[in-house]
Formats: sequence, structure tokens, C-alpha cells
Amino acid sequence: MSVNVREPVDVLVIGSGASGAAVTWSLSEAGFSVACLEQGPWVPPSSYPTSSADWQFLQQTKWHYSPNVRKLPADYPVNDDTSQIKVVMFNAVGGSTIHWTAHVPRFHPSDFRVKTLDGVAEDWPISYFDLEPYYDLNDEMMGCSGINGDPANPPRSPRQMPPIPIGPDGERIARAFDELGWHWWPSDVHVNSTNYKGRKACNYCGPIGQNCDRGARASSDITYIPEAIKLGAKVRPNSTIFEITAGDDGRATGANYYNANGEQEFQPANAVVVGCNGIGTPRMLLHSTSNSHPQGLLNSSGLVGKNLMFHVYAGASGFFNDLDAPTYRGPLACIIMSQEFYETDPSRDFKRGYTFQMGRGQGPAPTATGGVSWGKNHHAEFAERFGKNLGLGVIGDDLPEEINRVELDKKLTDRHGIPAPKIIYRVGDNSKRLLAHGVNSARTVLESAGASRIISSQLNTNTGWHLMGTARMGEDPARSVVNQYGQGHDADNVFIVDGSVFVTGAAVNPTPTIQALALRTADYIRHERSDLKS
Amino acid sequence: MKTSNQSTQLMQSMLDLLIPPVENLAGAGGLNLEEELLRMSTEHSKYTGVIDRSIDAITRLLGSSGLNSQVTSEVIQQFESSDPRLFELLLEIVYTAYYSDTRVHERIGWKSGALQPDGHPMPPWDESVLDTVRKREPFWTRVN
Ligand SMILES: Cc1cc2nc3c(=O)[nH]c(=O)nc-3n(C[C@H](O)[C@H](O)[C@H](O)COP(=O)(O)OP(=O)(O)OC[C@H]3O[C@@H](n4cnc5c(N)ncnc54)[C@H](O)[C@@H]3O)c2cc1C
Repeated sequence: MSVNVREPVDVLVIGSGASGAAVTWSLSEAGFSVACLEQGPWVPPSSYPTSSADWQFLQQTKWHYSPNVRKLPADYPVNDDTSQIKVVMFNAVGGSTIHWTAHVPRFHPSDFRVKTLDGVAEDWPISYFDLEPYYDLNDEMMGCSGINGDPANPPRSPRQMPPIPIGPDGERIARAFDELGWHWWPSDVHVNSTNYKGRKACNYCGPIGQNCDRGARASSDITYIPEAIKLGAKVRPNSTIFEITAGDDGRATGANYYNANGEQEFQPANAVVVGCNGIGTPRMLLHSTSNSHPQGLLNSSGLVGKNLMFHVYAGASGFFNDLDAPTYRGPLACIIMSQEFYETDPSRDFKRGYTFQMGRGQGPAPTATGGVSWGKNHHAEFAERFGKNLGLGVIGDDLPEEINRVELDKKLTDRHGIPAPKIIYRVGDNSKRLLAHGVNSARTVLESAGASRIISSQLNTNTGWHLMGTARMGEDPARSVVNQYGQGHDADNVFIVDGSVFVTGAAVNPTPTIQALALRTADYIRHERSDLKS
Repeated sequence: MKTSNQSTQLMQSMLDLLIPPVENLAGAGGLNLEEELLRMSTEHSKYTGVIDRSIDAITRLLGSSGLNSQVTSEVIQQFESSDPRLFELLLEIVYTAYYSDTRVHERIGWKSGALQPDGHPMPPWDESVLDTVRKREPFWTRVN
């Protein structure tokens, strides 16, 4: 079969989500020729559910968080039957940031030193302070609303915008934390509280994950990617890579992919940067076998796909019958957070800790489908919740274990016949103890806030949105897949920039850390790898 | 979706048992949601066949008298425990159709239509809410 060969580029970036977009921009700015290939399409902002009266149906179907439900042409199936936590993601220009909530806390310095401090997992080969300038640069690009002075975190640069107002309901929960003497702070968010770089301020419609055509919530298709295109980057949607090719010396030569018409093409490149997320990246590496990489690209350690981490989630909801305004007004989950129980405390029966993230109520159908029973109590139960519920989510550190992993499914494939990922994952004992503590503490806060009734869940399962650890970084090639710059130990011109490289997951949403790492990798290429520029 | 008189009646009784009438508003069965349910079950594969399979399951549970007998809460409960996955989808599509209906919105005080461009009002940010927590000393673990 004759395969169309595209014009060679300096750097091929695979995936245009949070990480791939950041690298595409940074390298284009430095004069590298960059092609960013993305399996999904552009998603026009006018198609977002929040612009449709049918938004509640859309969010259950073609805008569902799970690719297994959505089944859009760009979605590959994920076999998560053997996983306690179900995987969610989005495949389009912008990747999962099309769907994300844009809550952007940073890792703590201690998260990079868990072996030294707590005797668990491994230390990272870098520190918080190595990443700090890249967190700042990323905030500048995405636009961060927030405020300095949080006693739970190191001081940092001023945010681009003041915090999103926390509202009377946020204040109610904040006062409860104050009464208990527990920490809380307004969330840092990549949602505009004022107009920013041509994108409008949020008008607080509610479901941030369903996006809006104001561009108030940053996603990489409206932040990094347009800037990269202006600088000359070629962004090619509807291009599904099925293998990264390598020469006999083990170095990558480019990638084979299916174009928008389903035809096979080859993109030659001096270097390949992979940003397909913590599931898509190991899938691609494992599928890229060659003479020089018989177990899959960068897999001489056998660790590609291993150590999969999600964050473990649980939480409690309180129902309030004395609030001034309905709780569906305002951003769903970009309000306040608490890190009272973030760091390890020897008096507790678990290592590391968790963050509380406050959540609001939702529209009528999501409220009903969120657990209101059918039958004669239906209306009373609905009335107790609708506009009156506030929640505290517990996001727990999920320590890495090799048995939690991504493999290639032996039967299931995507529409091109590329094997689907199979997820094998179970919640560890440390996580279970941590979540139990978190749920009890969440109940205490909601009680103190005056909730009339509280319900809780010990483990949320449809929460596999933070995909980490499956090609981790480290100094020892036998114990890690890439080095501190995301550069493959087995191929010096292959870089991984998504959450796969995480050594541990911390207890915060990961994307600012993913993007900071991606920008650091790009900086390394810019300054140390001019050999990759033609 | 099945459209015989008997199956429509059975469906309406089932819908009314799931979401009964309230105050001056009919239950889900009396609101004529059939067309909306049909649209939803044809527009996305997630809901394909959910209504028909649910009616079949209930008919089977009703036994030899089938479509002619009365659906009761007990029958729905049996259906729920015999096929929880199908029942969950049924409940989801019915709740979504019911709570997308403008008559229901009016009753519960929800503004129908798209969420954008109006959004919601929000009182401005007031920094004084931080007064208490600001007094706390930094407590993050210092490590290089
Ligand atoms: C509902 C939801 C809410 C979230 N909320 C938050 C939050 O509040 N805060 C936070 O920090 N994080 C949040 N996240 C997580 C966040 O979206 C991800 O961490 C982030 O997008 C990961 O970036 P990435 O570049 O690694 O991968 P992605 O953004 O997932 O992008 C990967 C891209 O690679 C493409 N790709 C994959 N395989 C191929 C292939 N073979 N060929 C070509 N292209 C390919 C995909 O189509 C996709 O576009 C949320 C996620 C979801 C789903």
C-alpha cells in the first residue's frame, strides 16, 4: 500500500489537549517547525450544550464525560470493566479541557518528596520550585482567577484576575470551616472573573464542564492553540496516530496515522512529543513495537502502562432550607477548597492526605438523576435538594501501585482497528482509610454549616478524569520511563508531556502541573536540543 | 418505540408510578412525554430500545394477562431488581424528559431555555471573608 508522506517537521506533537497544546505553542514560539496531530475535530463553541435548551439531554449523551457513552467518531472505547473507577476524557482539539472544570490548585512542595517524608512511593526527580516559573507562565497563558496569601501553600505570583466571587453559599461553607478552625481558601481557577485576552468574564451559568461560547473558561483550543497557529504551528485535526516509528538506533523517525478520510499517512519528524493523556499515551507506546522496541516504545523497564493513578473521590452533600439564593446559581465547582488535611499527620491511619472541593447544586434533571428516588416520595425528595444542596468533594492522593495499569485489550478496538486500552485498577487500602476520614470530616463541616440533612458516598466511581503515572519520570531507567524533562530513557528524541509522567498524584487536580511540566519539557528542547531544529 | 394503545397505556401508567402527579400538575404519564421520549431514544444510541425493552420487561412480569393488567409499584420494583442497568437508563431518560418540560420548569421555578447567554447574577467578591483564615500561620511542609 502506498502511504502519503508529509513534509518533515522538527517536532511532531501528538494530542492537542492541555499538555500538547502548551508544547506546540512554546516550541513554535522558539522557531521550531511543529505539526500537532489530533485525532478529534475542532469543536465549534456554538455547539456547546449551554447554548442549547436541550442541554440536560446533551450532557447525558453526546456531551457525556465518558467516551464509552458518547461514542463520537473520534472516541476510542476504553475497557474499564476491571476498574473500580471509570475513565472519562474528551477527544477533540483542546482534549479533555473541552470538558474540564478548570479548578487549578498546585502541588505542594511535599508532594515531590513523599518517599523522603513519608516512606511511600518514590520522590520526584524535580522539586516544586523547579516547576514554579512554569506554573506562573501557564497561568498567564490560560488566565487564572484567584488571590495570594493562602497559608496552606507557598506564596506565589499575583493572579491575572481577582477570585470568582464565592457567593452567599460559598460564604456559608467558608464560615463553617472558620468555626471549626479549619483551613479554606478561594479556589484558583482558569475561569475568567474579568475579561481576559479577548475572552469574556464568566456569567455564572453553572455547569462549567459543559463549556460556554463566551470563552470564560479556558481550554487549550482557545488559549494555546490559536497563539501557536499564529506562530506557524500546523494543527491537523481528525488525524489518528496508530504508531510512532523508530529506526534501528531506537530513535523515533515520525508517526503513522489515519487522516480525516481514513487514509494512512506518515509524518516524519526529528522529535516526537506525546500528549495523549495517561491512558492514550501508554496505549500508543505499547502499540508502537519495532525491532528496537519489541515491548513497545520506551518500555525496556516494562513500566509503560503501570502505576496508573486516578485521584480517589468521595464526598458528602448537605441540604439547606434557609439559603438566600438557589445553589444552582454560580460555577458548579470553582468556589472554595480546604487543605486542612493535605499533609501527612502521624496521628492519622493513612499517609498523605486530601483536598476538599466545594460543589454547588445543578439544574433540574441532573438533580433528579443524582439520586432522587422514584415513586411517591419523588417530589418531596426533589424539593429537598433542588437549589438547596451543597457538596464537599474529597480528592485523595492515590498512591501508585504497579498492579494498577493500562494494557492493550486483546479484542476491543477503535474504528480503525487500533486496540483499545484495558484498565485494571482497584482502590488501595491507604486510599480507603483516607476517604473514610475525608467523608467524616466533610459531614462535620456540613453539620457546622447548618445542613438539615446530609448524605455521603464512600467512593465515587465515575470520576476517572485525572489520568496519571503510566510512564513515570525518574533518574533510574530500570524504575522509570522518562527523565525529569519527559525525555525517554530509551529514545532521546521522544518526549512525554501528559500526566503519564507523574511519579505520584498529589491530592489536587493535576492539570496546572501537567501543563507546567509540558512547558518545562519545551524549555529543555528550546535550550538544550537545537540539534532537533532543521 | 411501541405505539399500540395498550402499550401506550402501560407506558403512561409506568411513567405515573415513576413520577406521580403533584399539586396541579399531571404525573410523567399524563404530560404526554411519549414524543419526547421517542426523540431521545432515537437521537442517541445510549437510549436506543430502552423504553421498548422496559415495556417488554414489565409485560413479562405482569404474566399471562400481560398488557391488560394494572402496573403497580410492586411490579416496577420487581423490574428494578431484575434488571437494574436497564431500569437505571429508564429512570434517567424519564427524569431527563420530565425535567426538560417547560410545565415542570414553571412549577419548580426554573427558567426554561439555554443557560447562555443570560447566566446568573452573583454578588461581588468581598475580601473581608478571608479575615479569619488570613490570621493562620503558613502550614505547608517546607522541603526543597
Ligand atoms: C469532566 C472533567 C473535569 C475535569 N476537571 C478538571 C479540573 O477541574 N482541574 C484539573 O486540573 N483537571 C480537570 N480535568 C482533567 C483535565 O482535563 C486533564 O488533566 C487534562 O486535559 C489532561 O491533559 P492532557 O494533555 O494530558 O490530555 P487531554 O487533554 O486528554 O488531551 C489528549 C489529546 O490527545 C488526543 N489523542 C489521544 N490519542 C491520540 C491518537 N492516537 N492520535 C491523535 N490524537 C490522540 C486526544 O484526542 C486528546 O485530544 C477534568 C477532566 C474531565 C474529563
